[in-house]
Amino acid sequence: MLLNLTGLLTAPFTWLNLLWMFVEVLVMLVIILIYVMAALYGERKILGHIQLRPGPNRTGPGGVLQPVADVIKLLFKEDVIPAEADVAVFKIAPVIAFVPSFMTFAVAPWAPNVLFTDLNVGVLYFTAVTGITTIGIVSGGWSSGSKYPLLGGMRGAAQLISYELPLVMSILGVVLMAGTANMAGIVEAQQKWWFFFPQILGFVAFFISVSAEMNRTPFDLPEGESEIVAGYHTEYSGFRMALWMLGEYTYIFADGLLCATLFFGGWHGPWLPGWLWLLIKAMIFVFLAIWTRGTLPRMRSDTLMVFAWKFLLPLAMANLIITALVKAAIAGWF
Amino acid sequence: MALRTEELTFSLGPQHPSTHGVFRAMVTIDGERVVHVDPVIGYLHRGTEKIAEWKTYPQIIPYTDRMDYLSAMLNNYCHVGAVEKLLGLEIPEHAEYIRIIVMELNRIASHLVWWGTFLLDLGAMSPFLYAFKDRQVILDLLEEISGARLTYSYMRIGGVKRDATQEWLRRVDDFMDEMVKNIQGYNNLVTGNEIFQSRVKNVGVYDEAFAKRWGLSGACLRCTGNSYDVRKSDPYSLYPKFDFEIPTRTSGDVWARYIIRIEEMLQSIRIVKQAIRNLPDGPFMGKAPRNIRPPKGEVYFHIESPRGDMGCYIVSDGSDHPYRWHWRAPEFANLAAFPAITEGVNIADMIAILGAIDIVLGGVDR
Amino acid sequence: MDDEQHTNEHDESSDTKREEKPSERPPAGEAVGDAQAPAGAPHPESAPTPEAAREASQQRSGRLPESSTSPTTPTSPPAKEGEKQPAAAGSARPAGGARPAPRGAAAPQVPTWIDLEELKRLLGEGVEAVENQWGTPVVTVQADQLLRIAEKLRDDERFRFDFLTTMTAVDWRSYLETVYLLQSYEYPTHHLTLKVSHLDSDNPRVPSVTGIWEAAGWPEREAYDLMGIYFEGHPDLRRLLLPEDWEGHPLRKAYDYID
Repeated sequence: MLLNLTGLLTAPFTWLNLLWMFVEVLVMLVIILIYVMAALYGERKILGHIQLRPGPNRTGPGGVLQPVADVIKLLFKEDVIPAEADVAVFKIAPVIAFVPSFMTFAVAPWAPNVLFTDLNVGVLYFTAVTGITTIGIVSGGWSSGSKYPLLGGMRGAAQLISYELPLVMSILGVVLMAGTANMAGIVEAQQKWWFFFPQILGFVAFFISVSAEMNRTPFDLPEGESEIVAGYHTEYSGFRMALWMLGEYTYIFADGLLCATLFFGGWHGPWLPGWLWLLIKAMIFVFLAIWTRGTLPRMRSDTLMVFAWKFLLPLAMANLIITALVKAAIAGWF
Repeated sequence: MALRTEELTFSLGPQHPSTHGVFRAMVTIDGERVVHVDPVIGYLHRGTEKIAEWKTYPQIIPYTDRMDYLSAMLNNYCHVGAVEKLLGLEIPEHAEYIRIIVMELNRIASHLVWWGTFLLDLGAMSPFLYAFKDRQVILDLLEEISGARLTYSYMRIGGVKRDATQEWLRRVDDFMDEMVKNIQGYNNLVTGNEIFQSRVKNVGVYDEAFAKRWGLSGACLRCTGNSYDVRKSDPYSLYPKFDFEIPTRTSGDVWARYIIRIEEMLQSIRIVKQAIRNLPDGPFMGKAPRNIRPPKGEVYFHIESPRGDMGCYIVSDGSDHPYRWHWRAPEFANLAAFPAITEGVNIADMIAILGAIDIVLGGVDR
Repeated sequence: MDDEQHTNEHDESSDTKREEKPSERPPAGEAVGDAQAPAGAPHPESAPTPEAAREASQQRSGRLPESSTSPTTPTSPPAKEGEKQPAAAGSARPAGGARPAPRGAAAPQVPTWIDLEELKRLLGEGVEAVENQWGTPVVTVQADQLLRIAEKLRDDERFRFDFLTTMTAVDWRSYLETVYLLQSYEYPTHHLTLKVSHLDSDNPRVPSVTGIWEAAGWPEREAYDLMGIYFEGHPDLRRLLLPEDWEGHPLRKAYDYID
């Protein structure tokens, strides 16, 4: 991993470079798959601990092979497509939902110079790409030809519209402070202190919006089990179901990376190598996501909207204005 | 200009995560708003009333277990009590005390299941397992005394099946102390949660007049300020000897029903502790005729089940089996009001309201 | 298969055995003054005077004579003592001696909250019979007077039966009977059973009481479903528990439920 990855994109096209890019992407995919398995296991174990039960403990020592068993099961399961479904859209929807989650890793800054793409608009790219997932959710819900997925898809769309705005607004505060939208640049700007402290308001807005974007409890309305069965992926089974799960867990990781990068100083940290620090910070975020899932009830769709528009958006805006004013004051404009 | 929308009708259940068994409702929605609900029940209809016409009075007891299967002890008592009223039997006080202990334990267990599943309906996964951990202890205790975990058939016409040992009583007493702490823990975990409160407050509101019109009972009635509880209002058994309160609220929403049920658990603990302290000596089985042939006539006997006013109506023709045996299931009456409460609410609230009614389909369908 | 055959036979034999029984039970309309009411209960018309009946009831219940209504003020609301001490006034239970019996040893009591003669008088015309069943007055009324009497029972100060506990039906083979179990939220110890008897088994029709107690909606649907009684004026009379294409009404005694 410790290669100068950035150079590849700008380097002149050769077959060797293409092969290298391919290999790197493959390595990243494998890392993500390993992470997803670990996250599945970790989630079940942590939830088990929260819920006074042991969690998986039969497959392998301490149940560590449980995710492997799950994946094998999903791979060999029949891929059921409802008769009423719009087959082409139904098949492509989980891919649309998963691929963007993987694309976000292109801008994740693991360490100085260890990142796939040193985009100047890294943050913008991240938020833009994650928006595509919603198209997957809506089309998955619609194409199932069933009513619960339709409701789930609609809820997903409504939720994204409500939460994308405060999310971007809260990130803008960080971008203002760092003076750049480049992910690596933002991390470098946090050499002295984490942006978490000056941007505490922004962090609150960011954390809530990002949880809402991940469709996790307490914002798991699009797949709210007790209301609309499983929401947009009710009709999915087999490996397509696995893709939905993969997308969901990859997003937690990606959002953890984003959170660590924007607010917790990215790769900065003593003793340990930078990529490990980033990983640790992201994993703490993943743990928080699992923890909230184990403790909180689900919100209601209308209170969710009211909360987004009447509380989060003003909060993020206020944070942005305060940041701008303070920055202007320091720059000596007043 | 109003947006032109199209109504969508979908089937909620009978296989749905939050219909508590096999309840089904045809729900018509406009966006997320519920326009009309048409409940469809009967998936668990086993014709208990018909079966009862062919069974002798003691033989009916196991069938009552399977109606509202979360409160089998109270079902037993309701049937047995009706027969005892018909026969004019005198029950030894000792037996009556044990009956009250097991009934109130069963009430706590039933409320615990409700608490867990209701929060599951609201999307909180963990409380369910906390509730079941405590319920497990109660089920173990009831299993020890009755031999079964769910379908107890513990009551007999004239008394109970088996006497309670001192050891058992001591364990029940210890667990009641623990349970008080656990309920405090539940409150700390859930009751104060902001998201939870926003989900239940001002949801499914109705007033006392509505509740009376629909014949509601139990927490569904007491949330409107009416304190009707059969144990106090029309006492049966030895309840007048016990010191306990009937929790009521006036807001008439799901929140009120939630708080009432939590407080009812505490009151049941009080009753159990008093019963253990004051348990008199005596036989656990009274003098009951071997062949039960009540006189001709009809009798209605009702008790307070965890879900409300549960009654048993027996028409006796003088033979050893009832001529007609009718069961008043509180959840049946409470569920009948469900369409009226849910008109105009959104889907998530509909689920919360359904959960707060506390239905057990075994009782609704009979 | 063998088992089923066996059950079938058994059921049929017991069916024929029981076939004779309903004849023992006279129609409710003629019930007045025969062995219908359990022995010891002062029957409204067999008792010489209402006062005597009331005295008998007081002797039986042992104490709290004030809890039964005074005959001189028949229209006054029931005594408040009944509410304050529901235990003592509980209609089903006489207060025992030193050792309180959970349920009455002397089984059939009389209603403590109202005198049967008075009840009959208050309800006016259309009352076919008033009898006492273990302390609960059972009032049989004519079908065409049902709605008027039901409304009176719900609204009258003296009754306030605003809680229709449940509604069901009984098949007496030669005729059907609907039964309304009434209670009052205001006076919870008061019970009253309202009946419409002698419904034609082939075409039983009763006015629906959904307009008076909305709680009757589902129980009436259930009675329609399982007993085949048509409730005229019911807003939504469909089968409730059984599928819509079910044939027959299973709670009828003549229902042949083994295919």
